[in-house]
Amino acid sequence: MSRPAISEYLRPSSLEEAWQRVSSGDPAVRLLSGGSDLTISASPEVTTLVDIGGILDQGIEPDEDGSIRIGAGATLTAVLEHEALSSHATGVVTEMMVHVGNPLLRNFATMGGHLARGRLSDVVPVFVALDAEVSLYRGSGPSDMALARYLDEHHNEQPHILTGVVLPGLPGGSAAAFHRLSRTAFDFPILNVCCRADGSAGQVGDVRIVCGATPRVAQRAGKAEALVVGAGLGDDTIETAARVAREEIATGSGWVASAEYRSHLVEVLVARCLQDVRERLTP
Amino acid sequence: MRVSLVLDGHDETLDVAPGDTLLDALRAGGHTSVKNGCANGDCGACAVLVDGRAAASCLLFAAQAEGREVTTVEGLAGAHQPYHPLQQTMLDAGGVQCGFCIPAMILTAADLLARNPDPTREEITAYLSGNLCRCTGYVKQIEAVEMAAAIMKEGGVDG
Amino acid sequence: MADKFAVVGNSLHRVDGRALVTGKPVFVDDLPKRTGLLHIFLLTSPHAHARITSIDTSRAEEVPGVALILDHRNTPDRRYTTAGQGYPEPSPYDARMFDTKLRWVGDRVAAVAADSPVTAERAARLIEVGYEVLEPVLSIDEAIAARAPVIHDEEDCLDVWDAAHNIAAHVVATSGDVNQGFAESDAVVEVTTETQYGQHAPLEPHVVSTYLDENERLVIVSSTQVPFHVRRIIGMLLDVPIHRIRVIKPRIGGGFGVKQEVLIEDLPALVTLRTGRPAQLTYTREQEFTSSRTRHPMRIRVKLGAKADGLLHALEMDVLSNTGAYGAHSLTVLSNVGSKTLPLYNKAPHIRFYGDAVYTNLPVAGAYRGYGATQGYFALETAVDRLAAELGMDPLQWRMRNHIHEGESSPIFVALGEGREGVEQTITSCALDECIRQGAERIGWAERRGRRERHGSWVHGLGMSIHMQGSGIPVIDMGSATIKMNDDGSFNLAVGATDLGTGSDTILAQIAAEVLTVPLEKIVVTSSDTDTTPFDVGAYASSTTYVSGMAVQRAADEVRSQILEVATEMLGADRSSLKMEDERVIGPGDESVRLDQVALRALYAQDQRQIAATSSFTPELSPPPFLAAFCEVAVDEDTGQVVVVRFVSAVDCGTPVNPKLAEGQVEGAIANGIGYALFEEMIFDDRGRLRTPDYARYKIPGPQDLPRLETILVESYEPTGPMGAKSVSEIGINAPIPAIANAIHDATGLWLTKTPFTAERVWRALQSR
Repeated sequence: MSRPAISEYLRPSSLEEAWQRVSSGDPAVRLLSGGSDLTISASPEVTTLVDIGGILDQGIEPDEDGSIRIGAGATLTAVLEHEALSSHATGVVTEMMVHVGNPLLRNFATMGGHLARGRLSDVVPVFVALDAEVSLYRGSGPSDMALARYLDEHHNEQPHILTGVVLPGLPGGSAAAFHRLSRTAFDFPILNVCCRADGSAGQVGDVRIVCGATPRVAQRAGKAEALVVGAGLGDDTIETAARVAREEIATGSGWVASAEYRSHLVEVLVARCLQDVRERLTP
Repeated sequence: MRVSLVLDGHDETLDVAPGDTLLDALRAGGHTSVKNGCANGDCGACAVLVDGRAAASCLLFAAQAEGREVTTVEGLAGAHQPYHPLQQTMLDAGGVQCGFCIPAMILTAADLLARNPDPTREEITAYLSGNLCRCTGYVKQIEAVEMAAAIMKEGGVDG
Repeated sequence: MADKFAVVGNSLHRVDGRALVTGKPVFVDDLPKRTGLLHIFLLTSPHAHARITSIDTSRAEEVPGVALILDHRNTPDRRYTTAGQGYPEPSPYDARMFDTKLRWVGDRVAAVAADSPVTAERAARLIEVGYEVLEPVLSIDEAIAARAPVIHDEEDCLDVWDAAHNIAAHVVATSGDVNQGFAESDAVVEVTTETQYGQHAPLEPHVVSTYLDENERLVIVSSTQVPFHVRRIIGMLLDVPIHRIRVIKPRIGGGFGVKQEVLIEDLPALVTLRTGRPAQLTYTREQEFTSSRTRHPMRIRVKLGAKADGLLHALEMDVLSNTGAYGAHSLTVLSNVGSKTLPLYNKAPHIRFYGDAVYTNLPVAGAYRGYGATQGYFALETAVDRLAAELGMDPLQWRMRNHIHEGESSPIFVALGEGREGVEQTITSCALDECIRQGAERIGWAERRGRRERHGSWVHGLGMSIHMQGSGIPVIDMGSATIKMNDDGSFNLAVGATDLGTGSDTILAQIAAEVLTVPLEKIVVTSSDTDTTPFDVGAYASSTTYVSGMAVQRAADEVRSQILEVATEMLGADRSSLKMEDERVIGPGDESVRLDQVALRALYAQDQRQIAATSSFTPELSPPPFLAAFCEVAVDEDTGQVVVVRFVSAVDCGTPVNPKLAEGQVEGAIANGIGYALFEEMIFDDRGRLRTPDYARYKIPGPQDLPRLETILVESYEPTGPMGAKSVSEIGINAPIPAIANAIHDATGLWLTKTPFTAERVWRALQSR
């Protein structure tokens, strides 16, 4: 729908130039990359769009250390179709990305725009489980911070331009899995879970258990993680970890699902993810 | 503000407001094959090709089309004059009922076939997942894409 | 049967197909905008139940570009119904253009007409309205509670059954004595089902454009299913003689019943009449959900009694229907819950149907594909499965034994019509046994039912249901057609019938082409223009193929006989010796004349006249199509998620005039029904505000949410229909709820009684198993 309040559309030629327009934190000025979220949610107070789609890095660059840098301007489709991401952490990013929106949205929505909106997302729990770090620009060279911290502390607080996200290299033998439940294929998740484990099924190193759409965007189940790290991925441990996750993850009720049901799903989906992770880990 | 783009194969300059979506601009410019079904990115009836990729034009600002190639179903036929194979097979398969979703459905399928000339049924279904239709149940539309893929492979033409 | 036809029975391309796949400007909002167009913004009620105590439009009027503001003070105060039905409409006159009392969140408060949509909306926000907020009635139970707030307390409403108790309509029909019937039964089951608010969600929202033509007649271009009813009702409401109104329906982007309503035509029409300027109102997607029409949510109790041999002996159905804030279609949908379901099992001598439609302060229900039968079949067909289980019978065998057959009747046909008594009817075509046989074979009923195949936490089950609908409303509906012959042996076919995407223009042209022995392209169709096409009630009640199709066939027969008359003169042969074939009239010695030669002679040469005819048809009967549905579901016992794995529909629609279009009608109806069964739901908060006003929250099925729907057309020949055809458009939507519910039972042992079968709801049921 046309946004008549918007009177100015800027295409800065550099990050520095873009920063000059957004550094004051004026709520009337909004950054724009893919566009998809802003066309829907632009509040009437927005009068100026700063289109950084043309200057954001659109590349997806795997590094020798196993890390992958995704430019904020990369589309979700580019992420879905990228070879390096289809093998990172047993392909969990690809596994997840097919559920995000639909091709008409993924073809133009950007990774930066998606992460910066900080709402209901299938991407975020997966990226948190992969220890993603975001790069922020605030007038000088980029500063990096964990995605989880960015969402908890910095999101929408201070002016910033999200320029990229890095999925750090994982120890050989890492495996991850993603599960979600929604009413239809193209629908917001009622609940989603991503689990990752490093090492082998018998000797588990680091573990991440992250639940999203609880309805919070992402919560880690620290107690359940600790339990798996200590005990490995036997049937009993998976069952116990899933139950512990259910207890520690706070869920809320909404018109689409009750907190009670979401908590039940935490248990079911955590167990499914851990079982998949076990199968994907080398024995 | 003015936006210069290649629209259905022709250089065009659109006069738009900064807050206009691409959907608004295209319809105002007479490209009414691009349908407004929800203006919210949920139904896919407004899909167009932007640099060859299907996009919900209600989710792009018109200004984002600057310097890009935008294709509507009105300009899709291209080398396939008078009709793109998908336009033909959509009728052959019986995939058209009210027709409101059809231009967008054809464009999205054209994007798929241009990059994946031999898609599986599952790939077709997944790629059309953002194109809602309330009339058909999608059976014949998916068949139409399969039929078009076969014709295009045979003819050695690309999308 | 179809092989005896040349054009009918073939899946020819739609006559409007080329225009649609090339994106031609054929929908209302695509048409060129007229100079001076006024855009209308509708201001709606934020309260479920309130009175307007004051309204001040002065600030809005001062906004430059505002041409007119309408509210209750300057609009007609007569009561009417928005239901687009025949005259007199069998719906209560309980609505006003703008009322001082508001009855749902989304009811009309005021409308602003201005130069641009932005100006209209900005001005509307400046209207100051004082409300006295009243206690809302937000459910059936609240509506019928003692001392419930009275929703229609106005004195001038007409034909409301019992306004003081919020009852809009009431229906009773009986045959025999059900109490005696149940007492005599060996097995008795009872089930109560509940269905939710659902929306049609056509991809094209309501849109109406109006202007004055060069003779200052009012032209209304509308996305409507009922152009002739629009003309009559707008004429009555706005006090304009019918001859001063022209209604045009161009292509429309789906209707499914929601456009069988004179929903918004009055607003641009009045703006145009008052200002002389063209006007347009286009609903937003949100308004399409909040301020449009819905399916009636219902609570239905069905009780069945059978003898030990399985024969149905007593059948009782009690219906509570929620018609929302106004009673459009309240009586007729309520009647249809019984009239389109109960005759299916005609063996029971004891039948009782009882129903009330109640007002609530929720969105207005209206016509929606299935028209009450959808809700009725949920109760009836799940009760049948329970009864069969009680009797220890295969539900397929039970249905075979109990359903209606060709040559049989049901007392319900007479006892229950649409809003009044029905007509006596004997079934003249029924291939339901064959539908059941073919459907069962396709899904593997005998081998796979009751096996509870398991894959991890997913367990599979099979379910079935059978259905009938009707073909038009007997002795009420009327369709007509005009055919005239052109110089080149082509024909213009003008029909009032309304193609809402179904392909009826094509179907009707195929019928004309068949009679006149010409290829389809020689039939030029004009439809749905009240100035240039003859009367037709419009597209509803599964009527077009049967009712309008018969009118076309009659007109074509008459034209054919005029052609033969001319050819007799040309060939010098006895008329009874002539036959028509492949655009020629052929004499006894194989001498022939082409149709263009006949036309040229009639138009230019000898005893000149226009070969043309107009015919009408009003059905005495409503021959039902039949459908047997078989579905396979998978239920995730861990999450409660239900996936429809296969859905097979075997349909008897008589002769399928265009098989692909007929299949498309079935597939579309099944798809919509699966959505309604599993996830489509309008959800309200505790003040009656809709929480699901867009496609992001009100989910309709996308390509990945459906299996590859399988449709089997089982031919029969309906002797009273055009070339053996019956209807096909609505029946499919009735099947998914009961077929899926019965399949879920086969998989899990659960009898679900409340739709939609969401994952959480199924999970809760599994917990209590």
